[in-house]
Amino acid sequence: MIVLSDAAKNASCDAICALANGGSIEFLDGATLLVVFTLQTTAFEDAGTSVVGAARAIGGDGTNPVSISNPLVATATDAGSFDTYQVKSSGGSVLWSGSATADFQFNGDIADGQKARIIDWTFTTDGDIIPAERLTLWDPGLNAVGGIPTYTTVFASMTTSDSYADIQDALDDAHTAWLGTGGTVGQVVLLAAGTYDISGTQGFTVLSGVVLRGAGFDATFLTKVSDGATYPVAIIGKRWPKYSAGSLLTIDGVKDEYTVTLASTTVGGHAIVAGDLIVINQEPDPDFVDWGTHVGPPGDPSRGWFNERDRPLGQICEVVSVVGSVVTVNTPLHHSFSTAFAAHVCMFGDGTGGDPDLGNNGGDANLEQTQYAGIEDLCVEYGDGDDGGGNLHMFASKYCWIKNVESRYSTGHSVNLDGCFRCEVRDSFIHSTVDPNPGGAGYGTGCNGYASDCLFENNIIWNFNKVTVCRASGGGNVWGYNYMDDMYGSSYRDIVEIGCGPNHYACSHHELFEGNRAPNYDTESFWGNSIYGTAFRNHFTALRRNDSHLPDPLLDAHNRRAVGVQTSCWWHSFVGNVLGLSGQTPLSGTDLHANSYDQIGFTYQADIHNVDVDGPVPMWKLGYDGTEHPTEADPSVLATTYRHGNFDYVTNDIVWDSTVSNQNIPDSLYLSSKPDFMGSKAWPWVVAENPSDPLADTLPAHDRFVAWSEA
Amino acid sequence: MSLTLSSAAKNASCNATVDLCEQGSGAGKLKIKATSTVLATITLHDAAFENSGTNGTPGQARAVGGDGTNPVSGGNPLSGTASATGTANVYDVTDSDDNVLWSGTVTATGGGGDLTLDNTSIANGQSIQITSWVHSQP
Repeated sequence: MIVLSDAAKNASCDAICALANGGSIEFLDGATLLVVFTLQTTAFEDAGTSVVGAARAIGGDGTNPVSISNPLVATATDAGSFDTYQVKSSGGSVLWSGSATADFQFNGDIADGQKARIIDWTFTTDGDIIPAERLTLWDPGLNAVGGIPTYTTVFASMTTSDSYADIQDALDDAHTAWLGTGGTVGQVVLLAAGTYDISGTQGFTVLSGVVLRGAGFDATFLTKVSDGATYPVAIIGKRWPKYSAGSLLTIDGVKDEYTVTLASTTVGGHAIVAGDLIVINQEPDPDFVDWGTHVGPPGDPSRGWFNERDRPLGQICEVVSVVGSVVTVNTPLHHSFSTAFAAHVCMFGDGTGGDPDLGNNGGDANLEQTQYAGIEDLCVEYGDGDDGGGNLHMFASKYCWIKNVESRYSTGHSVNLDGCFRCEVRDSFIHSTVDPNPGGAGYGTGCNGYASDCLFENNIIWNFNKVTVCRASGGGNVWGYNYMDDMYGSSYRDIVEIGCGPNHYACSHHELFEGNRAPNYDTESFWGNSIYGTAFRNHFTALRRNDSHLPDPLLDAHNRRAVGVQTSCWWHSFVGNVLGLSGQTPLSGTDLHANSYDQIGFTYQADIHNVDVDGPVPMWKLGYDGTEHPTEADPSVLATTYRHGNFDYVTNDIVWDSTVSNQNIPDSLYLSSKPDFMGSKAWPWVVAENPSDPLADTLPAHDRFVAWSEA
Repeated sequence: MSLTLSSAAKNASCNATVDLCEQGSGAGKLKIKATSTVLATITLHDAAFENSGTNGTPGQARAVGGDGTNPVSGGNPLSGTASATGTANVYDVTDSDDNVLWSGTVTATGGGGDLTLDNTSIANGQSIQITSWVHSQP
């Protein structure tokens, strides 16, 4: 790696900044130009004035750097949410561009005609803190549309005297009422406090424009008997959507771009129009997809459990426009899609016209999309149905949400987003499967079937076999600031399960885990690998809580670690995390199977030549496999794992990648400012760059759990 | 930062750095080292590098070879004589006053270094030739 002197850094920075003299900076929302700022004749101060290799933009007075009292000011010409920016020369040439959310901080979306101000802007050529191919635009959930709306129109108020059928009728009629307003006025079906026994039913279905709202998760209870009826407690969307016939891409779809070019813009008998959800996917490219050894051969139904068969790498996008053969969408492609692997676009349908041998896929694109629906302020329990069931399950929906709920005692994912786009699960307590075992019954949260750009934020996810699974998820999804703990199998409570991470099927990609607290981040490839996962500013403790409310105690005797990356899981990135606990202690004694064990101590990284041997507890366990137990670490994992700026309690220091010059860890990879739920807490709360005190505060979701546990 | 630089910006950045070779009283220098021991010092030309992007890749500038005009090549190498014995692994580029401008790695051909030699084992008094050298930035 070339290392520039300070003089060279400054000269390089000055040379670029000089090109911007008298130019402009434009902020955009997708392809929509929101606001243009004119730069000063001398656009930037001399590099090195404050930081070597960096230069601050000159503010409105034409002399001094931008600041609150000396901003650059412009008037917005359109409304929206910034996602990218570009700096242009006075002649109009683009000089550089970047992610607005990563490089600037905003205090909200912008309105047409609004005065906008740049009060802080420093340019540096110090390179990316994470290589660009590992990043994407993370603008998840409803953030891109101003957040979750608050519906105030109560369509119906229901009580425990109303039957299941009465309430479902109200939900259906509320949807009709929303349609009657042209989709402009959201409708609330309000459930009074009490327990609603819906055993023996198919559970509630919530459609577009409707919120099912209780009186609080400690007041309104929706309960089913877990009787094998295989239905969730509530569904948003239409259950079991199918994939329509597709149309091939005629040009490769390129990562970070917003268009795909198709052989035909009519798929499954439907002409694609603005607002449609489309699925982009391709046949498996072995450079990215490793199905592993547990799924069946090509064409086997097991290769279509969570995606269009044999097409695990995909993404869901929302269409903005169709011009000729070019379809423009409003999120960037998180991964490239190749014509060499028959990349195509399909949509969702109900299976009409599909091929029974392919699970009725390949038919009509006729599924009504559910949007702007939500479930709020109630408790659900005892949903059933494994992978198609659970407690709360969204299917093929966009801009829908689950907020402030308690979801407990599930069989199947407690909360599952299947084939969803920009949906959100937040501020909730998701816990306690009744079946803490592999196989689909014991999972906490799911992000499956190409689900893309969704957000799980500020939740507690506790007491499951696995706390997160991402099965053929589509990228752009974020788990932010959740507390996740106590994952286990009932027959192996002394072996630490995988913690948070994109897991358990091929080929999740470009998912972000930020600000969470969990015993570990781990990826496994039992049903296929994952690629391009990013862990940023999390605290991975390397110890399960073993909370007293568990049905049986846990013991972290085996496979205890802070981070694991298992075989064939490639290009996972770790920046700014804190690993381990202050004062951590090794365990020894007799495990739950009457075998003795002794952890001896802790080590920075597991021995790659004895990667699966229990011994000192590693902060990093790379290239192992929790099922096949190879001795040697997978070299492809060692070669592609990126670690930079992580603190651990073994070295008691931050460890940088010596080949990366940029050591400025941004506050967030998806938030532009401190989120409201952090309240008075320090943000970021994980500050690996401060080795003397790498945890600036506690996580609110963790605080809530401790308060519940100790009450 | 999450920047994507234009070709113009890449070239401006690269040129700004390589132009520093001429900032001293004379021509700049390439010092091939075994860690901290200088094995050979090769005097660069003034100008030391062609304009960035001339080879068709924005942000890349080839060193000027022995003829003082064209990029280094097998027929137009930069040449010097070793002043010490050792295995080259790093290099410094300095101005004529020995201010270090940038540093990089040295490997044998195919080893992936920022500068490659056909043989990194250098003996005192040995003739050294640079036949390929491209500075890439940022």
